[in-house]
Amino acid sequence: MSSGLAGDRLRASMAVALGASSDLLEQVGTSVVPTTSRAGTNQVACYQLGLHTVLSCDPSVMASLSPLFDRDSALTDDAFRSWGHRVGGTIVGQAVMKSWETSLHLPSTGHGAHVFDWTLEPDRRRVAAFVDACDDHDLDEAELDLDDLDDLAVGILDAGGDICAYASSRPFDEDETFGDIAVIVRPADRAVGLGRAVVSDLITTLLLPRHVEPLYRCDPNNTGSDRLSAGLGFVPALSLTLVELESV
Amino acid sequence: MVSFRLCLNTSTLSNPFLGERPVDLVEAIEVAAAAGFDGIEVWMRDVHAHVNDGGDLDALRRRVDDLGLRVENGIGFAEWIVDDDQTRHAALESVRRDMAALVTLGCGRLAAPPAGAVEAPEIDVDAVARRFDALCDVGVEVGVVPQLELWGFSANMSRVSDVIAVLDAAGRPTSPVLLDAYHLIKGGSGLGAVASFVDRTLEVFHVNDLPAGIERGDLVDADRVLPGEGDLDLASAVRELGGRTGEIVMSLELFDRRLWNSDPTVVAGRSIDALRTLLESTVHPGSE
Repeated sequence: MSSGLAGDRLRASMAVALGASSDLLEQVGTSVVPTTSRAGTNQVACYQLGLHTVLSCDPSVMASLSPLFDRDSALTDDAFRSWGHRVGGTIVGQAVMKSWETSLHLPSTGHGAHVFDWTLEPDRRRVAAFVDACDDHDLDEAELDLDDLDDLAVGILDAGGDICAYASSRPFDEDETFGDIAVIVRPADRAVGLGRAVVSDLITTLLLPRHVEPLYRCDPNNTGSDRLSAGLGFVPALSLTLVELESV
Repeated sequence: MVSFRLCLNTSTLSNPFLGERPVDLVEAIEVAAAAGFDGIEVWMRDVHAHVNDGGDLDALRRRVDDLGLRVENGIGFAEWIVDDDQTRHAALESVRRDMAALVTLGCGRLAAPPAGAVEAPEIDVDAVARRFDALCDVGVEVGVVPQLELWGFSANMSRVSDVIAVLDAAGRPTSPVLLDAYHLIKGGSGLGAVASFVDRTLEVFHVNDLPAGIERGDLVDADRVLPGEGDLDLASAVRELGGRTGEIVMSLELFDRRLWNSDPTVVAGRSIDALRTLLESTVHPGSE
């Protein structure tokens, strides 16, 4: 995990959002937080917040977590997964949240990224066509929803004015000073560096001038996304694994 | 001295591009009236949606009147400016429909932006002037005056000089122009350009603030914030407008997600407070 300032702030905000104290981050240990928004889901989320691990759970399953609660050691992600497997749970989600801990100057990509403005009909039309060109899995990953487009978005356009690569950001729910980045590249244009280029343009053109702290979330199994973000100076700040237990 | 009418554009309350808006037209009108606004700026798609959903515009007009409000302007995107004849003719029919609805609502203005021509190629100014003239003719027939609107992000009519050239070439130098703080900055004219309209007609001014430090080419509509929350010298622009005569509708048009996610009554309250503070600052410089 990163020891950078942005990562520290992200972990602190996440701890508070989970109903734990940010002071916990200085202490080795594991806390369990019953979370009303998870009520009825049978789910437990394991957040690795540096020295401390927070388990956010459906209040009804709290008793079953007693073997995991340890004031003096931080539950590891592997141990959490093993426990989930043992009790017949299913991993239904996992993510790494990365903060931008670099003083690197991101160079201009030379692609001349297009800044989208959703009040403009041509931009709305472009992104609708882009959505048609991408598959549902990619759109889900990027959380690209035509009815709820992110305010800050850039794209690399092809010669016909269509989008090859798209990156956007919206305020992170747990701390609006962070911009949660989404990126998606048209299937036919992958593996040539457009993803990295478009995220770089998003950061330099739209996020930094607005004092928005870049935040990159990815599935740890998505090696392309992991490499892309690492290449831009993102480092893991916290991780999350979500397990759904069998109904009792 | 000019009299400012404080107006709320409904885009400030909720995202106008959603299929179904969280704050519908009736609620927006009631919220604006409760906050103390003089008027409201409506989006034509909302007006037509109201009718399509079984609403009655005469009843809506009565509601507006009863609340002491005025529908000041309609926001529409008919492509009256484009080269394609068929699209343009369809646009004029669409404008006719928009204007008829506005007349029923007691409104005599419709925004006329360069919709459909925001990207290159640039259209010859004489062609734009002829098309604007045709638009004005429809307005005369129906009884609504198009407000030629400058869009800073457009390949056509992005600067004050472009708009003035169109008015003059159309032989309609006194036709009203709709100015907008965001678009004046985005297009590069700057807020000081309101001074160049001293002998032109200006009935509606879209007011908003913008944060500092963003290249004008990278500004987007979502950057608009409440007056006083940004870095623009709005007071000087408003002071300039205040030297005119008659009435100017000062309409707050924002696209701020933080406001969209807030209670509309709170948003309307903050909005009118921001406009009043802005006006106050023009009377007592330094009180911003």
